[in-house]
Parts: sequence; structure tokens; C-alpha cells
Amino acid sequence: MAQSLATEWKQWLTENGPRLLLFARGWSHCRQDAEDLVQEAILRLWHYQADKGATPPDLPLAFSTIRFCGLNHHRSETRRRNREGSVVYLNDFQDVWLDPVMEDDEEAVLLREAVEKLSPKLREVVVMKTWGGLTFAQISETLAISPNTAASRYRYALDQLSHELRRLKENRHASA
Amino acid sequence: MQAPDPIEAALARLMPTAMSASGQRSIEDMLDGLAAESKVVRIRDWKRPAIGIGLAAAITAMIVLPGLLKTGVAIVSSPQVRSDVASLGTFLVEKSERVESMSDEGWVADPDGSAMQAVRLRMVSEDVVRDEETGYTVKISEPRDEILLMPVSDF
Repeated sequence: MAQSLATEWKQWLTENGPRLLLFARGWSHCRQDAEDLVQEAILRLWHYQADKGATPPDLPLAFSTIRFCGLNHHRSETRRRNREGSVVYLNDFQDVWLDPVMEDDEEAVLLREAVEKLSPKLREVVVMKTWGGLTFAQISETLAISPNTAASRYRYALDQLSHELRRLKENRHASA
Repeated sequence: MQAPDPIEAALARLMPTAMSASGQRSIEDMLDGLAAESKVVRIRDWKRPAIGIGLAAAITAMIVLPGLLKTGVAIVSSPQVRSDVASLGTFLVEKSERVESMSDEGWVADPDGSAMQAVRLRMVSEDVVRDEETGYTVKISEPRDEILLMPVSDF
């Protein structure tokens, strides 16, 4: 019984781990911190699900719990330190959030950089919609915002990404 | 059908990075440990409605039976007995409180104008009471919403 329970959760982790990690990156300064955040969230989810048949949770709840854990961690930090940390982090190009399917694809590399530069509010919606596969209704529940706000943030993020991608391409071609 | 936004198509080509081997192993070890400690009894889906019906019947019985039977059972004096349930001839067996769910409500300003992080908590108080006359044990759940405000001045 205990073994099958662990196996079920491990399968869930294998399936959803990368997208949970990606979401956690928005609340962490490095990959290790993000993995710790995912682990803490899974521990909370385990106890939370104990009353519900101990089955692995659905994805919106998992995102929501990671966000809550991230919020707790960041509460004690100053905005300035947070911003400085992000600048250092975003310049660390060896530590990427997303793997382009083709590393030599210039557009994919530029887009990866643009996603990392999105504001947290926009990025979390893009992550949940694109890689989490959540609907706007589910995103709105996770973030405690209206579905219209979730959809607006998503559209606004796509516009920003398009604009940023164009700008980065022009800069690269100009310097080439 | 609406064609996908080109930027959406480009995003779909990016894949989230996998967890590191050590990170994955650490979580899997934790899951093994939790599962070993777990004493969870799984309830099959088809049994859930039966449990709900049974609980509803028990609560109804607790409300109706004291009036119908007029047992006149003496209330045993005990510090654990709450006066409200004791008056019904029932005894408090267990009392618990848990957080059912929580959601971020964003930032709000308190009366002083300071920024506060609001978190909505869905709390559930549960009392398990036993009717001395019938031997019925009934669980009474009282859900309520609470807003927790945390200062964010040092955020």
C-alpha cells in the first residue's frame, strides 16, 4: 500500500516536475532554491491530500502551493535585494529556465531570454498557460484574480514577448 | 478555428528544464519516507456518497433523538464536556481545527495605510461527539473563512 502510494506520487512528479520547477523559478534565485521550493510544496501537498485519499494533487493546486511557499520565502527579503538578485541571476546564461528544442535556433534562444525578463505577474500566467496547460479559469483560481485579468495578462505578455523578440533580433543583426 | 499566435507557437517549442538528478532523488526519498509513515486508509469513490449519507443521518439522529426519546440522562461533569453539547446528553470526544485551503488575496492597506499581504484561509473546526444514550458518534464540521494579514513593509 505504502509502496504503491509512493510510486503513484513519483509518477506524478516525473510527469509534472519540470513544469513545477519552471513555475518555482519565478520565486527563486537559482535552480537549487527552486527545487527546494518544489520539495517543500510537495511535502505540504502530501499532508493536504491525506484527507482526500492521498492521491497526487491536480496541477492548479500544486501551482498555488508553490506560489504560497514562494511568497513565504520572499516575505523577509527587501525589494531591492530581490531586484539585485534577479539581475545577477538573469545574466547567468548557463542556468536556463527553458530548453530550446534546437539550441542553434536563434529565435528560441532569444525567446527564452525574453520569457525570463517578463515581470513575475505576467510570467507566472504564461508559465501556467503554456507549460502547465491550465485554462484561464484555473489560473484565475490559482492566483485569486478574475479570468478576464488572467487572459489580459496573458495577451499583454505575448505582446511584450513579440516586441522584445523583435528588438533583440534587431540588436543582434545590427551588431553582427 | 483561430490560428495560434506565432509567439505561442514559438513558446511551445521551448520545454521546461528537467529537475536535477539530486533534486529528483531528494523528493523521491522524501515520498518514500512519507509513504512509509502514512496510515492513510483510502476510500474508494463509490463509498464516498455512502459515507456522506451516513454522516447526514447521524447528524439528523443527534438533533432529533434527544427530543424524541427524552432520556433524561444525567450529564457527567468533565472538563472536556462543552456546555452546549453536554446539554444534549452528548460528550465531546475529540476537537480539531485545520486549514482546508488557502489563497493569496494580494496586497491590501490596513487602516494605518501600511501594505499588508492578505491570505484567505478556509478553516474547518471539527468536533466529534458521542451520544451517551444511543452510542452514536457524530462528527460536526464548522467551516469558516478567515483573512490573515501579514505586514510586507520589509518585502
